[in-house]
Parts: sequence; structure tokens; C-alpha cells
Amino acid sequence: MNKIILVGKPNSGKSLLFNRMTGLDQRVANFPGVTVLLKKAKWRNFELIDFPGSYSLKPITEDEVVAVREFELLLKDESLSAVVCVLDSTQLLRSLHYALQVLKASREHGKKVIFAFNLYDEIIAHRLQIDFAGLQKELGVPCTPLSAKTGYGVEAFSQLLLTSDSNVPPQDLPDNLNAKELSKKYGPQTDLFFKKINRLDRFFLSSYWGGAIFLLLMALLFQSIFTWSTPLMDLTESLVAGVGDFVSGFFSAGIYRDFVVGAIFGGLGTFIVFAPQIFILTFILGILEDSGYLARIAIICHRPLQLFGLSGKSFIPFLSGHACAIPAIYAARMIESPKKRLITLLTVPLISCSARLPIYSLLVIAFIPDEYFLGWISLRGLVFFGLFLLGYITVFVVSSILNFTIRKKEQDVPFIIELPSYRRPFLKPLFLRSVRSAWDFLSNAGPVIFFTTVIVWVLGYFPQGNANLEGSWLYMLGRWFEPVMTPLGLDWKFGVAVLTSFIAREVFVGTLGTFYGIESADGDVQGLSQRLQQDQLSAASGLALLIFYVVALQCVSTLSVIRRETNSLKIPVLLFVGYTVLAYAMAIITYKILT
Amino acid sequence: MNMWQLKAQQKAKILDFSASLSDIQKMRLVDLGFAKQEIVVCVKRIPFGGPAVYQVQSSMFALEGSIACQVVVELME
Repeated sequence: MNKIILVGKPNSGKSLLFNRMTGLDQRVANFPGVTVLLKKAKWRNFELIDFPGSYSLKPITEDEVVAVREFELLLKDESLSAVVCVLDSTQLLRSLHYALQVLKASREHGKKVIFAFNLYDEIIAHRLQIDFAGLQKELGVPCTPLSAKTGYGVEAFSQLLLTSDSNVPPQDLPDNLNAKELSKKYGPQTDLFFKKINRLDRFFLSSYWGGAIFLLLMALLFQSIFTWSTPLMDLTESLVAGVGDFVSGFFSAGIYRDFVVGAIFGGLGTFIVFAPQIFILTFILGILEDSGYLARIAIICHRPLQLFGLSGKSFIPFLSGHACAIPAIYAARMIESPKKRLITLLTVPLISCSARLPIYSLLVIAFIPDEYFLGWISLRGLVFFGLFLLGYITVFVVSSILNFTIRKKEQDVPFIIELPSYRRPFLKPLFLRSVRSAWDFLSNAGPVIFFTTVIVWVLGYFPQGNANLEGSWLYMLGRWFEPVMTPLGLDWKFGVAVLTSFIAREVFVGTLGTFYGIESADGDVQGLSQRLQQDQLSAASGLALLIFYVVALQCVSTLSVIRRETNSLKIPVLLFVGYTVLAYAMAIITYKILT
Repeated sequence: MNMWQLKAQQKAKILDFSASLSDIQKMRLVDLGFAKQEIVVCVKRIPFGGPAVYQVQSSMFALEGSIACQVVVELME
């Protein structure tokens, strides 16, 4: 299949154009360097490839190295039909600077090039214009305006891509082409975009309240994950319970009914309840990403993070790590300094990800009273915020140790980041992205949880074949593991739940749900947190368990990505052992202090 | 003077780069627009030694001191 590639400087909207053309929803955001992997999809009869952005064809960062190496390889590929260089119309000079390098390299290999001037809706909104006819004549390449965000000009661009001549004889670019002169001659002469940036940055980067605004936004983010999602979670829980009652009514008392109540609605059903939290988290993170504020966060955080051996850019992987550690580990590629990049990717797993949310929610609801300060600050929300904060504190302690121990031969690369224009988040794609993220959470973890809960149910139900857990195979396994849980004041049930959660964290909730489902095989699908309360488990044990889950690295996929990114088996093994021991020690200390 | 010494809202012309700056970093600065004879404005300084925000050509960049101090500039006003 013939190929078409999308290249351009960071944050020029390549991925948004890729999504618009292919109908996919690859991650996009308003900060430089969000695409760190090559993304491929079918478009008409072509394979469309989205490249990570690059400021130059002389790479510095890991994501640029990947982009430039692949670009050079593809230029030699016979099946490459066209190179689409995506330019940011609001930043014509710098876009042209990179576009001319792309044009030169492509011409040398006789490849067709099209310049797509993205974000043209902003040019129109400011009643400005770019002289495309002039540019086209001078450069000798088709130049077309479009807006991947609104869809303006995308059809015309697609037609141009399909119809323009692919046979371009190899030739050198004239030496007199200069981005500055081209931009001056054909681009809009205005500083309107600067005025907008300056006005907002006076507020967001203020020496007096810039840091306070950042902290307030973060506190609001973590509070809202808990408080805003509560009505949606309650609704989902009622739905699951209603369906559970309805379905179990079809079965007479016996093994099938016990299985439906215990394994399906006790295990898997308990887990589904937490999907709204993933939706809210992705939605709020998406607003921060799309607005352009993330780059400002990187600047505000740079100096404090430097004290722990990290970069301001480390905060961007950390923030996306709240959704999932895997894209966050890839996002660390945007960090120029090899040492800071390594420290960032080794500490990303300590950031509280969405898989931890169900565990936090369950235990917080079970052990923390539903009280409010000043009428609107929820105590449970505060504890939730505290757990996220503890994740960060652990990151800083571990980073400091790693900064002291890791020695890199390469010279450290200084911090440089571009400040993108502020943009209003585009709510419809963001909403769809958040729904997709909640669905991915369910569909990725669902089969693992279902499989594990079925095994747990079988082990808990047999050999007696009734609701009495004691004497079951699971009981025997749990008793064997119980000594590990005793220092935390927990019994064998929690031992089994913790043990199974090493497959994936979320399994913890499913396993506990299955236990309580087996015990109350009467069709009563009651909230799991209520059952934990009825079990009279101490708050000290609950908090110790929470602390354990803040730190423990229980995600096989994350370990496998760390292995790939570090090209080492030793690092993920040491990380797994180290974080598990640390988590256990911190949990014991918490329990001892509280008792 | 060097670019790091610019105060907020000061404008300067880039004259040269420090000899200790590696070629790859020099090229990157040029790619970003920090080329000789370009006009640069220090838009914002972040407190406690944080990065400084500079406007060059049609873009804004935040640079930390270790690289900004390698750019030799001449104050314009």
C-alpha cells in the first residue's frame, strides 16, 4: 500500500488532521511533543502515517530522533507517495523554517510535497490572510489552507492530495529561499497572537499568584474526580444492582444463581461502577491539555522539580500518568536530558493512575466518614487529594535518591519549551475522548477481571459447593498468605485480594466483590463499601492498605513498557521489587502509628 | 551581556553564542529563531531562578539559565 506522511513542527495540529482524515481519535493536545510514536491508519487507498513533531531535521530529543530517522528512511521508500508538511498558520515564520528543511530533503529524493496551512480558522477569525498563490509560485509546491479543528478546507486538501502529480524529478531547492523573507512577504503582519498570549500569561505566570493558581487547579482536579463523579457512580451502582436483581430472578437457588450473583455481579459489576471516575479524570485533564496551560505548568514547576533531579517537562508525563502510566512513560521522551528522562519514567508508576481509583474510592468510602468542611469541602475528597499528594511525595523522594545514584556519561541538555497559544478546548471531541477512555478502561481491564473473578469464585465456592468460604480452596490459599497481611491487621480475604491484584490493580476490587458475592448468595447486590464497613475492619488497616496501593507497582503492561524504553530487564525487575517492598514497609508503619 | 541577564520587558539583539556552547545546542537555538542579529524580548522571569520567557520572531520560548546565559546579546533600550 502506498504511503502518505504527515510531518511538521510540534503542536502544528498534525494529529488533529490525522484524526479528521481517518476518523480515529488519536491523542491530541495543545502543547509541544504530545505525539511521541508513529501512528498509522488507512486513508482511502493509502497508509497515512502521523509523525512526532520536530523543530528541525537535526534531532535532539528521543522523540525527534525517532521522527527524523523514520522520515529519512521513508524518503528512500518507493511506496511513499506524498509528504504532507503541516504548518501552523499563526506561526508562519517558524513553520516555514522547518517546512523548507522538509521540502529540501523531499525534493532531493523526488517526493511530492504539499504544504497544509493548519489553524487557518484563527487567521480568518482575526480577519487576516496568507498569500497562498505567491507562496505556491515561489516554493513550487501546492499550498492549501485548512482547519483540522473545524474541518475547513480539509476536503479541498484531500482532493489536492489525491490529484496532484506524484512524479517529481529529484532536484535541489534554490538557495535564496529564506523563511523570514517568505513569511514577511506572504504572511500576516501582526502581533495579535502575542497580545492574546501576553494578556493571559500575565495572569497564569504571575510571580505573585501563578504558583497559587496552579496549586488551586490541581486541588480542584483531584477533589472533582471524587465529588463530581459521585452522582454518576451512584447511578451506575443502582443500575448494576437493578440488573443484578433482575437477572438473578431467572435462576432458582443453586450453583448457577450463586455464580451469577457472586462472580458476575459481585466481581465484575463492582468494577463497572468506577468507570464514571475515569470519564471525569480524562475530561478535566483534556481541558488542561487543550487549553495550552500544560506548557505553563512545565515552566512554573521547572525550578522546584529541578531540586529533585527532574525537569519541568516531567510534570507533563506525571499529569498524564493520572490516566495511565503507559502513555506517560512514552511522553517522557519529550524530555531532552537523558538522565531526567530516565528518572521521570522510573517514577511515573508512583503517580496515582486510573486503575488505582476504584481501590481508593472503595476504601475511602468504607473508612472515611461522609463529612464536609465549610459546607462544600468533602473530607473524603481531601483524603483522596492526600493519596494523590502522597504519590507525588514518594516520586520526589525516589527521584532525589535516583538523581544521587544514577550517573550518565552524556552531557545534560538544558530546558527549553515553546509556549503555545491559548486555545478554547474543543468540547465535543474531548467528550468523545473521555467516553472512549472510560470504555477502554472497562474493555481492557474487564476480561482480566472477569477471568480472575471466575477463578476466585470457583476456588471460593468449592469443594463444599456452598456460600461458606471457610473450608474452600481459596480459604486454604488465603491462610497460607495470611501471615503477610497480619502486620496490617488484615485477614486472609484481603491477602487473596492483594495477591490477585498483582495481575492488575483493579482486580483487588473484583476479588473482594466476588468474596462478598459468594457469602450473600441471596441475590442482594449491595455496595461493596457497605459490606466492608459491616465486616468491622479497622480504619488503621484500611489506611495501611491505601498507602500500600499508592506505592506498589502492580501492572504488568507498565513493567513491559519500562523494559522496552530502558532496554533493560534488570530495571523493571528492580523497580517491581523495590516499590513492592517500599509499599509494604510504608503500610506497616502507617498501621503501627495508627494503632 | 548575555540573554539571561535581561530583565522582564527588556529588548536586545543577539550578537553571538558562547564558545562553550555545543554545536548541536547552537543549531537548536538557531532552529528556534535565536539566530544572530535577531531581536529578542524577555517577556517574563519566573521567580526563584526559574526559566525566563523570551519572545523571538513569531514565537515564545522558556529557557533555563544554563542555556540563556550562552547567548551574547546587546541591549536595545
